[in-house]
Amino acid sequence: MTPHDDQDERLDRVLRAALEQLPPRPAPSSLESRVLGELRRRAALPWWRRSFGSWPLPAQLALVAVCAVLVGVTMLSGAPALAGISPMENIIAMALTWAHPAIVIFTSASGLARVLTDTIPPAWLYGGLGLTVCLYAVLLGLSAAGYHFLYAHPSPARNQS
Amino acid sequence: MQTQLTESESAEFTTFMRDYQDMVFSTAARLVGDDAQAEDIAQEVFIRAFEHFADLRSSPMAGGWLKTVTRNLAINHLNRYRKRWRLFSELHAPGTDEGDAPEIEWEVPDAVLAGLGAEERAAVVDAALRQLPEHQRVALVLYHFEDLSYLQIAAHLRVSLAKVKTDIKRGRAALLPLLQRHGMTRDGLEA
Repeated sequence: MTPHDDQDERLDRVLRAALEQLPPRPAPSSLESRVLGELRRRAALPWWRRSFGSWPLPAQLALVAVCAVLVGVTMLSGAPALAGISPMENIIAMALTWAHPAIVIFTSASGLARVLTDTIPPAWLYGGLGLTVCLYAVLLGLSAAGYHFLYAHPSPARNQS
Repeated sequence: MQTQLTESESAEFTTFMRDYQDMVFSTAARLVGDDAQAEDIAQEVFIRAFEHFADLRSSPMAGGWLKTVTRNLAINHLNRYRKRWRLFSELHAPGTDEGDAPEIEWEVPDAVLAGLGAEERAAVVDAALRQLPEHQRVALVLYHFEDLSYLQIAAHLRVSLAKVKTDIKRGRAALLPLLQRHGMTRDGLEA
């Protein structure tokens, strides 16, 4: 056993003696009313706004049945396409219908970017870029300061209430 | 699962709450180090207890059940908070790495807070715990108050065994002078 282990064991013993049989801290007087108030609020909710486990059994069964039907219909309607009844080109075309607007938007955005870089002086562009970086740095600094003062080292006054 | 609250049940559940609310609140407050957050956690614990009240009302295991739920909710709360601030908490956290500081020899006294009554001792200890960094406080509380082993603490906190040992060791070393200072001045730690 090293001197450090011995020291740690002694420290463990001393702290155990200091910490043993400490009475619990009294809960705030507001806790009881808060819990009962929340229970009453939840009890007043209509059944469909509560968790699924507390729904009436017929409602639970009905939802399960509806879901099962929806899943079945989806699978049955998709099966012919997968089985090759519908031509594969049609399936691919349907899958890519979303791509057309995206291509249009991308083309327009790149055209706009080209016009802007051609018309705005480079110094302005670099200045704007620098300003953006500075603002991000300030945001990061403020968040770090907020974390340091509010969370990592909160004021003890908050715990004295 | 119970969701309705009749008058008789309300009275019975209030009695149940009064029996355990100090224990639940203490456990949460010592783990999270903040009374307002501890009260929120205690509220959630009792709402869950009400959902299982049919089983808990006459169970001798009710205290253990409440303690376990409180501990788990408090640790989940801390993990959620830590994830939210991870970018900043990991930028500079001295003493959180394993083995990044040399061992220091110091004199361990024979006893601390020996002359105080239990309630005064509890107040001093709770105030001192709040001054510790979160990773040390949580490990110390789980070890000394919840009687978990190093392995169980590592599993709960999802950290390595070595980190748990380091945090507890440094937590004790940081806690001792805080308790000693009170013992010498008797002015309280927050004075």
